[in-house]
Formats: sequence, C-alpha cells, structure tokens
Amino acid sequence: MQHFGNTAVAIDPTACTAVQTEQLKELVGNIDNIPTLPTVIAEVTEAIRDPRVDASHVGQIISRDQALSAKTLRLVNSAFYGFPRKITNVTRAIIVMGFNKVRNLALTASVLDTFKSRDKDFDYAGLWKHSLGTAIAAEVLAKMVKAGDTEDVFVSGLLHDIGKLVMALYAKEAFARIRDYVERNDVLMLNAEMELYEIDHGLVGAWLADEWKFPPKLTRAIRLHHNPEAAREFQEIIYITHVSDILCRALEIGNGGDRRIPQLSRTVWAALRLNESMLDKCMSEIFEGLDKAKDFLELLK
Amino acid sequence: MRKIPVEDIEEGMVLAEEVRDDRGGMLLNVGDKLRKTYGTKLLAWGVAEISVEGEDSAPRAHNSKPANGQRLPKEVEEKILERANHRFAKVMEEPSMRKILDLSVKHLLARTARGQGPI
Repeated sequence: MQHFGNTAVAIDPTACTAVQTEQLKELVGNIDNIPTLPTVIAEVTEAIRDPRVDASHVGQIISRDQALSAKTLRLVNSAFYGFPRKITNVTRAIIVMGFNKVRNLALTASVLDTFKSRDKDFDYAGLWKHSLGTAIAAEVLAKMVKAGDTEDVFVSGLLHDIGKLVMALYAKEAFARIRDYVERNDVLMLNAEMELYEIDHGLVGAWLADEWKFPPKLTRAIRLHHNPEAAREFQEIIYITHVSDILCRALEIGNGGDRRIPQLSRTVWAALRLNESMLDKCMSEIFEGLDKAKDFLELLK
Repeated sequence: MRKIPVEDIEEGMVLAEEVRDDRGGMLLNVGDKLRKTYGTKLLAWGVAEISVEGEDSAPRAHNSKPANGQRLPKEVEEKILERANHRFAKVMEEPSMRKILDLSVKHLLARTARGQGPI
C-alpha cells in the first residue's frame, strides 16, 4: 500500500513503476474531497454478496436514499428495458431484474452526478455519452462473444474513463496541459498523458475505483482498457472494455476528448474471436440500445 | 457486376442479371439499358434489388452508398468520411482497424441518411 497524505492507495506493484506512482501522487495526492459514492451503493454491494439476502432487504437499503431510488426507477422503467408495465418500487425491480442489474443502475444514477459539472472547460456531457455508449457496447459485445459475465461489463464500460473526470475536476492544471497537448499535436489523450506525466487516465481511474472499494475485476478493467496485453487475470472483462471503447469512438458516440482512435490489440482480436460480421451486428445493436437509452441521457439534464 | 437497390437505378446503367417477376416471367434481360423510371415499376413488381454492370463500390471510406440506398447531401457525406479518415489515419496499417473503419462509415452514413442524429 502507498500512502499519500490521508489517502491510502493500493496500487498493484506489478502494474506501476516508481515514477508512475510518484506522478499519480502528484496528480491526486492533494485531493481532499474526492467524489464519493452514496454509502447506499457500498451497502448494497456488500449485502448482495450474501446468498441469503432477499430482494426486500436490498430494496429497503436503496429506498433509504429517495433521490437515488427515484433515479434508479426511472432507468428501470426506461425504453431500454421495455417493461410492459411501470415498476413502482425498488424491491419489485430487484425481483424482476435481479440484484446485480438494479445495483448497476443505482450505480449509474449515482455516478452520473459527478458528470454534471457545468465547467465550460471540458465536454462533460460528451464524456458521459461516450461512457454510456461504451457500457451498452460492452453488454452487446459480451453477449455476442458469449462471455461468462454480462453484468459487470456494463459498469466497466461506464467507468472506464472516470480517470479523465477525476483529472478534469481535481487536477485542473495538469488536465489543461494534457488537453492543450492533444489540441496542438492531434493525438489521443492517452498519448498526451503518457508524454507529459507517464501515467494514463486508466491508472487515475483505477485509483478512484479503489477508493470506492470496487472489486479488483473492475479496477483492473479500468486500469488496463488501453493496455489489455498487460492483463494477467480478468482478461475477458478487460478485453471487452478495450473493444467497446474503440467501437464507440468509431461510431462517434459522445466525446472521448480527442479526434483519434486507439488501435485494437491483436491479442484481443484473436482471444475474442472477432470478425467483421460480428462487429457489424454489434454496431447495429449499439445504436439500437442507445436510441432506447434516452432516459439515461436525460438524467444528465 | 454489383447489386444495387432499385431506388438507385441511374439512367444508362446496364443490367447484369435478368429480372423475372414472381411467376418466372421475364421483366428485363441481361444487357438492357436501364431508365430512371424503372425503379418504381420494379418495386411494384416486388423487385427490390438488381445486378448492374460495373465495379463493386470501393469500401475504403469512399463508399457513398449507405445501406438503405438513400443519397445524402454531398457535404454531409464528405464530412463523415473526412472525420473517419482522420480518426483512423494512424492505425490504417492494421487490417482489423480497416475493417472497423469501413463498418463504422457504413453505419454512420446509414444512420444519417435515416435522419437519425448523432448520439
């Protein structure tokens, strides 16, 4: 564990050089009030780990936060899921959709608050759309490649670029330098980050995910979505996040912060057995999914 | 030889494969010169697609035919292609990225042609 001021940061020593750790410390070490997830989310995550827990119990946990419940139910009732009748309480939503899906929607609703900055410096709405697009793309792709997990990939897609958000809000000077570099050299934000600070938004995002006590699977997917070849475990979710990000950029969904596209890793292409026809279908379904997810985008306003 | 939707028939195109109605009756023969008005007539006979002489449309982001056969204003189409080519400029050596470029352009053009805005 590394300690930066009051923040204990658990960084996998095999994934970070000493220089990178220093740079990360410089960027985020001074953050006093990082965005917090409602405690409800942590409680729910904890509760659903227990196989004996029932829907009513978890429903009650979420319902304690009225604003969050309301937003979660809005997403549950969106055209994206297409339920024939309106679902009016969280417990019912859990019975119909399952713990993980509802937990993920509650997470989506609460993370969104952090994207609502009215700061004119950065296109927060664009990043949210890109993140939502990647989440939906990840779900589509996971089903298409018959992945073992089709739930957590949504969260991984949604949060893969959260490091950019952290920098935009809490490391403004550094972020301004990065954006300026991107503008002048017309490169990926990733390239600018590595050139200027030797760390990328994946590492910053993983740091936050750790703060939020996310499971290692998610933290690792956020950390390595631009460097999937470094994955020694959880390859499936990492690879899916990597591809989904690229597909969303190709389809101009939202705004990742630059005008380029990362190269899809050959290892990933082979491992997921991707082919043209599969990607063609994916693209159609991604757009279909996003058209139905208007409520998710409405929440931004 | 390439297949085109009948809405895309242009004056002077040459038919590459005969067109028959659903009872096997010959409507048009190989080598027939097409007229623009044939489009609606063929649709009325239930024919949606025909084969015409000529090269397959070039895939590498020069493809100006979105999937449903509608034509976009030239400037709109050009902007989409320009952005796509720029986006993929540094990764074009990679065959998988060329495939993704072609597919994404196809989808973007089709979506725009249907009047669906960007996300």
